[in-house]
Amino acid sequence: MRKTNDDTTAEATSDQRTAIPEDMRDLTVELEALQQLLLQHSAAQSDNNAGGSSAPAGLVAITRLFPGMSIEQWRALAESHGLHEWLALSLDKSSFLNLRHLQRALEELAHQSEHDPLTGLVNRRAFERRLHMEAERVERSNGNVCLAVLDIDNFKQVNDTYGHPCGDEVLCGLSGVLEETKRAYDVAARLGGEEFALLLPGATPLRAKSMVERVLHAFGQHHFACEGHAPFACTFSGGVACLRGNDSLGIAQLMELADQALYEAKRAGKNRIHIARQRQEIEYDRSTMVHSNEKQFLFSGIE
Amino acid sequence: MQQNKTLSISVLSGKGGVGKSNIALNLGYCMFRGGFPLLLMDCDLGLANLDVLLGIAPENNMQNLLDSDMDARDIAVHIEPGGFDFLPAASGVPELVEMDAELRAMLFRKLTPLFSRYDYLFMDLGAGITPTVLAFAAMTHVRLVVVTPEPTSLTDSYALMKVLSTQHGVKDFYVIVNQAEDKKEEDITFRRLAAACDRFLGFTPTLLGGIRLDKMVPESVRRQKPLLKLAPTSPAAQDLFALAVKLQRLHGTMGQRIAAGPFLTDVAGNFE
Ligand SMILES: Nc1ncnc2c1ncn2[C@@H]1O[C@H](COP(=O)(O)OP(=O)(O)OP(=O)(O)O)[C@@H](O)[C@H]1O
Ligand SMILES: [Mg+2]
Repeated sequence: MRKTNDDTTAEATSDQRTAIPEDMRDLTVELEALQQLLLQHSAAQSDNNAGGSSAPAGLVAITRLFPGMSIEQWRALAESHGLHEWLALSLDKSSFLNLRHLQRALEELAHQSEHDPLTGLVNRRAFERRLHMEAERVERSNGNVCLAVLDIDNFKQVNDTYGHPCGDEVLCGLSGVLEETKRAYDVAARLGGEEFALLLPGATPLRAKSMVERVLHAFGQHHFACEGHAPFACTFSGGVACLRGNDSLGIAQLMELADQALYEAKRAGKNRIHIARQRQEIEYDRSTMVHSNEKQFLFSGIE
Repeated sequence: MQQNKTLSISVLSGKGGVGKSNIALNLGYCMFRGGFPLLLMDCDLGLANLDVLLGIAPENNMQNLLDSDMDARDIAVHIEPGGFDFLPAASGVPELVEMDAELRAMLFRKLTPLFSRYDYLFMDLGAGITPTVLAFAAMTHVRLVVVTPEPTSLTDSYALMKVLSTQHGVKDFYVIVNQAEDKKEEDITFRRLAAACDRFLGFTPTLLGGIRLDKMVPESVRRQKPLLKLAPTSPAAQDLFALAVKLQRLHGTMGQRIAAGPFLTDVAGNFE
């Protein structure tokens, strides 16, 4: 959270000028990302206009409110980060308040459009966006990422036996366990109904499986106490599918593989995690590995 | 550390269908008949077929070791009473090499109490040149490279040895020439392979021996019985028996070396 407290501002400026105060780190990260994007964009633009001298198609100012920062502080920041082409305008109190109100409303809307209102987890749409980003990263870096799709076992029965409010509690229970058990950079989502997903960057299939099994174990320890009923525990089933840098697998296929593995886990008796059957092995290309002089030697004994 | 007496042997080929599974099965059977307990491991994670050759449908496999608390000794299937055991493959499972150190250590920890009961560990590896094949081949004391007189078999076996030697520093191989029409064809096949290794890779593999082309082999496959049990006097059976005797001698000469080390060397560091 960024502080608007004036004391902190004063403290920060009296410190070394170049040191970035803790609460401004987010801003510098954001700026760097934006700068990168704009650079890419202008490179693409100049490629397009290589021959012509046409006027720019549009003109835009990108603004961002940053409460708690003084013009002097911005200057120091611009100095240390080479942000001279960025314009900072100080706002008077009422326009600041109006704009901040607007920004809050936007943030709220953005949050709502990406999160599930019941559990607070990322929703399907935002999850798929993250999945795309991660898939691109995997391709660039030749790394790997695993997708786990989870489905609470016998959830309809839970709703029928204990009532919908209690069912909601189970959903929130699983989301809580996911948040607690996952690593900071994993993404947990509720895809809809009693279906959840976990994105595990850098994980190999077996590693992913054991991580989801940890979630399953923790979830099983959870006892739900709903009014008028004895406490009960729930389980889920999960399917894991993975993507590697050298795979030609698309996001849709990855989802399908994870769903198939989930289906198998259900069929095998639920309360378990299955890994999708994927041909994981990269084969060495034997045709290019044995050179023609080696081949000749093998077939005739002469070079 | 306790002294190790178990000799681990991998059977590999590069090209598929050259006879690896039959060789692993029958060499194993010979050892068993000779009074040496052995474990036959199906390490072909893609197309496990030893169970078919044995005519069994195992309930559990290596995957259960990773999934559950099952004891490796309960997963092994007794093919013949008194020391002929079989460990079914984990089919459709991600390769063992992509396990991290922790999981790999777990698997070997679970296999160790099983291994120590046997004099021989035979690993039937899959065809192809894959990380799994390379990892298992590099881990065993002895590597049996199966080759047939066919040109594609020659190039594929050569390619496999090339990768193992250049990328994993493994330079000792025993060659079995399978399905040769006669002694002459066997000789030519081995000599060409050995000469290419010598010329381009800087080592010479050792000839363990040949197995003649024998119509009783496909017959034993159809009958789902080891050839040595079905037709012990057939030409291929006699050749296999001779190979088993040589392996026993090798076990004797390697005794010192294997006693000091583990059943399998976990050289996984090479694969990361
Ligand atoms: N010496 C032999 N004489 C005749 N036929 C043989 C001989 N050795 C193997 N075969 C035949 O070759 C076929 C393949 O044998 P096998 O299944 O043992 O090969 P493999 O190398 O294990 O194959 P894969 O790579 O598919 O695992 C079998 O049908 C077998 O009958
Ligand atoms: Mg085979």
